[in-house]
Amino acid sequence: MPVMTVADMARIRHLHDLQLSPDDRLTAFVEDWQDPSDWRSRVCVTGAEEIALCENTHQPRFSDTHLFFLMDQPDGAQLYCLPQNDLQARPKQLTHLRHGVHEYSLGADGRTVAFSTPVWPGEDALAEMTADERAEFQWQREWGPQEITQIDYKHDSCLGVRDGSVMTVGLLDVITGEAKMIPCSFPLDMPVLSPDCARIACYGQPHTGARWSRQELFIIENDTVTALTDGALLSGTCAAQFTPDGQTIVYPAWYIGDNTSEEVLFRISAQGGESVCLFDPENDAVSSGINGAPIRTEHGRRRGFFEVGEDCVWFAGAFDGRGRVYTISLEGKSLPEQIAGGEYSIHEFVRAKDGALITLRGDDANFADLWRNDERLRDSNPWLKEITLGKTVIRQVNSTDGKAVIRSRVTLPAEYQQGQRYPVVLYLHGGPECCFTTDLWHEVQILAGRGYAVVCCDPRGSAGYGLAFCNDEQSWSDEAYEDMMACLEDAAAMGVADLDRAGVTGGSYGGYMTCKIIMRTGRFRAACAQRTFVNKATSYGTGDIGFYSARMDPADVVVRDCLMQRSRTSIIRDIDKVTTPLLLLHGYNDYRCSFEQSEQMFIALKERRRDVPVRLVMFPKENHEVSRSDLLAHRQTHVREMCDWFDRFLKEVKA
Amino acid sequence: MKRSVTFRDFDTRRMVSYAEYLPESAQLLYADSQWDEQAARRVGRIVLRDVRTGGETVVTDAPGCGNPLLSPDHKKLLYLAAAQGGRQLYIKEENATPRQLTTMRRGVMDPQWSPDGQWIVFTSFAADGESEESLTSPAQGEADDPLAPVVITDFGYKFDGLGFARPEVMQLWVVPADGSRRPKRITSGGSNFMHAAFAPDSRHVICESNLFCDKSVGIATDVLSVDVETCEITRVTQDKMVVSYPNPVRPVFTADGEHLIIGILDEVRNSDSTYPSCSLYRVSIHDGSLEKISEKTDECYDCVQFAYNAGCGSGLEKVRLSSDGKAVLFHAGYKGQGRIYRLELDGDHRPVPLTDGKYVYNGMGMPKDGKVLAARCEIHRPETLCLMDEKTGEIEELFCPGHALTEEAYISAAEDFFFRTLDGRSEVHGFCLPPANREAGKRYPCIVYVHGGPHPFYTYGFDLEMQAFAGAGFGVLYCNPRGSSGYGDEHRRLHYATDGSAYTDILQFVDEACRRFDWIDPDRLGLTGGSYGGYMTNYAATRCSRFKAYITQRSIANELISYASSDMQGQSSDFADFGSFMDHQIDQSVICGMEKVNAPFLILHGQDDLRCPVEGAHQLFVALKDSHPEDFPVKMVIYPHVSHNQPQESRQRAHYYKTMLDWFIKYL
Repeated sequence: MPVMTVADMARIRHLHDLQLSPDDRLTAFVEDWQDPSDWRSRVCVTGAEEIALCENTHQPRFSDTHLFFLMDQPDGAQLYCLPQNDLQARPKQLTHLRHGVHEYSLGADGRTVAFSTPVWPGEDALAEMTADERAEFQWQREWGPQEITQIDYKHDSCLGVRDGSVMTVGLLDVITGEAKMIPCSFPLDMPVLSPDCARIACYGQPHTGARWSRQELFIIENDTVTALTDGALLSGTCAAQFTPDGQTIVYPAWYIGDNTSEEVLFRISAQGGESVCLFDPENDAVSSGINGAPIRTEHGRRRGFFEVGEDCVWFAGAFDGRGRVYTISLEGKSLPEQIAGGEYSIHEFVRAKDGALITLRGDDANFADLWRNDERLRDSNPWLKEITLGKTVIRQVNSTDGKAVIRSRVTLPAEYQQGQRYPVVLYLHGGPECCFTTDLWHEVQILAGRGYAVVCCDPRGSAGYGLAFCNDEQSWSDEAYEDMMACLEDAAAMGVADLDRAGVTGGSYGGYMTCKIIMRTGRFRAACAQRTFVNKATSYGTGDIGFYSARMDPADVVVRDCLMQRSRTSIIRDIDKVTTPLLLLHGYNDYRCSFEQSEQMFIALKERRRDVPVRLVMFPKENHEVSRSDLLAHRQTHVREMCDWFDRFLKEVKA
Repeated sequence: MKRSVTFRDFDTRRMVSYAEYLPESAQLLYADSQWDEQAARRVGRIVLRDVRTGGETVVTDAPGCGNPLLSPDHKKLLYLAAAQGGRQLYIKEENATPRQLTTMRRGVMDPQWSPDGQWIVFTSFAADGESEESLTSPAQGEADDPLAPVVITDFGYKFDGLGFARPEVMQLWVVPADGSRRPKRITSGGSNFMHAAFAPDSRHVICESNLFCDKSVGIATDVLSVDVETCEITRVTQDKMVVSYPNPVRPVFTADGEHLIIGILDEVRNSDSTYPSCSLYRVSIHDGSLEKISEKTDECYDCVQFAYNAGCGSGLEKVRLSSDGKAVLFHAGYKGQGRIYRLELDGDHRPVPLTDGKYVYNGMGMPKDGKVLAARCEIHRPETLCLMDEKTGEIEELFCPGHALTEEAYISAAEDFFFRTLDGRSEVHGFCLPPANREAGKRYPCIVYVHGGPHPFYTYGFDLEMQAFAGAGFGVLYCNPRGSSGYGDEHRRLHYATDGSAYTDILQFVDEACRRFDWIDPDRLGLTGGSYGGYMTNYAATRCSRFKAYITQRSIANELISYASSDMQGQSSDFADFGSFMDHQIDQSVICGMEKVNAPFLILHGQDDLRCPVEGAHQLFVALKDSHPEDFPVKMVIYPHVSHNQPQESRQRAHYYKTMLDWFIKYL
């Protein structure tokens, strides 16, 4: 049987945004895939049979009678609806917004919609553009000078420099067609309607300067926008939710511990007041907050992280390498209880009235697919049956200092034969507050298909193993490094990995560690640093998190001291120690770890270590999401470059 | 009273390029471009002008037309015009309909006639392994994906204005002028070939390339000869660096075809010069033997000119063989002038200046019957096309394309002066352009403008940007501080540009100017400049409180960023340890000290600037904003699709100058 190859990336179907109709009859989700020209998505609805809506549809939501969804149009996505009893009818268009709907919330009354849309100053957000306005708008996006006066003017999530638009919330009555915008001078997004549809909870960005990207929780009532929090450290991963009585709002935010953090849930009265953390984060024996930042192996926005009941909340969270579902009391400071979990990962869930759990769940051999409890309802990637996957073995590795146990996922070569040793690739995740879960990831399987054993481990500093484990200091000092080496040694001890043919790769923090590793040891025969970060002195001001991560009091800023301090703590100082052939992969529009970081590595190696092979591949229009969201051919190049590099240096047996 | 010059005149002024004179019919041939109000852009034409009557005949106004070149017998006209795939070659014979000669997939650049008029050599992009068939027909093969990943394996992978190196490089092609055959590719491989010219035998093409060199050294380093029939390549020059970017000189042949005259750098790029002075050499095409034929004298410092604002001569050549074949004509910078010199091939190696006075000559046509077309301008007069006597330098003016502008708008005239530097080692040449229509006794805000490089120099040329600032009521003060070329080798030494000497020269110049001219208000001075001028703006802003507003354009702020991200990548080899190199680069960077800036600061930068990488601008802005969150305005404007230059697209350019003007008006 064939193994997974780069070509198979065109066949992968990813599911996300799971929804259940109020009568539990219909389930909706979005299916994403990629054709050569772009990403595609469509809403699928399953009941007695499955109906797929047309392409470029997403964000499905149910009312009692209708299915609502967004469909991409030239100026942005617009809201449409279909009667649930005739899903093959021609959809009715409900909005004609100037720049389309970004996010929306459908009220329990089935007619009130709160939405967000980007608005440029002076525009009427509710009026579509004329041809002339569109030409002008496009000129401004493509050629318009970017005027910058605020320090926090760029963000990788904005795809670079902020474009001057302000995300604004509006209200629509789908029966009368009446719509209005809520005037507000700062961005508001992720609106959620209260059960009585009279109020909207949303996230806003009222701050300026270095705190600009921080969000606070707001409530909108009678067009008045009121802040409920100040300094809430919202995570923004998904929208807030009201309790069924509308009195309380539950929202995800960061709990900050001693040099560590965890994404958890808070509640606050809709009238304002003190926020209460639902968790006792220091008590982390059974869960590690919500979400847990599993590495994103799929495309599309995940939404179903939590559901709010009368007195409790159900939430999804990664813990100990598996995505699980828990319930926790609304009381506060309590311990969650696991209600679903196993050798699989639940990405999203919805609860049926009969208590069944409808989930999107994946495992080592399957991309996330639709399940009801332990019954699989769909085979979204039937082609997987026709290929041989590398088997994944979970290892619990004792750290060399004896203080921690590290979870290591060792994926065997697809055509593994017992007793034989194979070249090995140590694949490091980014973050560092991130983790590998029990999921199928094409990059690992393509390497396995080429005959590599692949070690994916969660060293100290990773999320999803409790607060202490996630302590940030360990990520940047020796602990994480030693843990990575211990997991590599373990793969050799299993009798699988040939350490004379070892390679290392990773993106972002994983790219940083890749570079750090080859400056500390010559044991790897090839390395591939993706969207890496090596020189803090040049990243100051060029990457979006480069400056405020170590921000001093403005009055005390002495630029030379700041740069010198950054220079002295940059790993690239040890460039002369590199002996490992290095491949660098980087998006040119990466505003998180700027492209110039890879150029620093490339030029310095080229100039100082002419004996060490080095290659840099630049992806012109891509940002920090290069391996996840770029066009198919470019993503394939990304993976192929990595595999070819390892083939070049790891495949030949040392004489 | 005449109206003032405005930045709008950038759009509407008339400009010409590729001019040539036809003595037999007393006609001028040129490409011109004029503003089309309806299309809201400039449109090009190719024009024949009767210099006696001023009557113009439009040869073509095809979209994208330009680059007209007459065949050696003046019977055929070659030009480029837009077509599928890019600009393509067209041939027009008298009274016949123009014929399209090429259908190159990636267009045609830099065409040249063979002396026998049978062939044309041109440049077009091609990657190794692409078939001639797919390259000579736009219909063949897929369109290039501009967003395709770029594979980088060596130095020289980016070049400002061109972007990141792609597999496609500049390759040379020949095509028969009668169109009887498809174009034939005569070079191959991954190196660029440029500045091609036919040998007198019409069977060999000479060109410049780094084919035999380390790519970190430069893009065109040697002269090569290519046999058109066999495509065999011979390296003509060894070891020496030919004059190339940013001031390329197309090699010329001697009359007998045995030798080439080329410009060669006097030394390799080094710590004391990013662009050394040059000398002319005679090279045997048989054995590559070199003979230096130009000497530096008190009247001639160089054999090229690195004019910052010449403002004339677009498309014209810089070195020519005289029509009698006995001398070469070339131009070089001299104390703010652009001069044309004559150098006898069998003389005493001492070039004789043919021109003098407050002019910039920049570019020559093909010499014929003892005369040569030359382009020149003056501070208060835009480009004028002249006919010059090759021996005496006697000038006859033929046509001033910008005449209409000088008729309707008030053009300011600058005064210039020299002063001895404080350290006594040199003299600095300064220019002061008063505001338009100024009133006696009134004081005006002034903009001190520093040129880039630092090796280029400000000339006696017509500078529309400065005229527009003058038109808006500002005086413009500019000088050639140490580091500038055109004032001798001592003056141009690179270290003066960064060791504080040039900075002191500029401040001294400002003092001198204030002393001499009562229209300058010393309390309302702003400082600006691009590239090195931006560096100097940053430098001054951290050291003095003389200026009340700063605008730094495409500046260098952090040497450590430029080390790896500039297309002129740096060297750390002097440092045993990379960490000490890093610290040293930071220490040398003007970004250190940004907390000391004390006046409104505007940063202008092109998004695609690969020379002074845009990352440096981002860091500069953040450092300023980080240390000065509130105390004075700091602003940055990034221009998409703009490289190491001011924007050329009409609306972007208008925005750019308006932003500058508003800043100076508000804070001065």
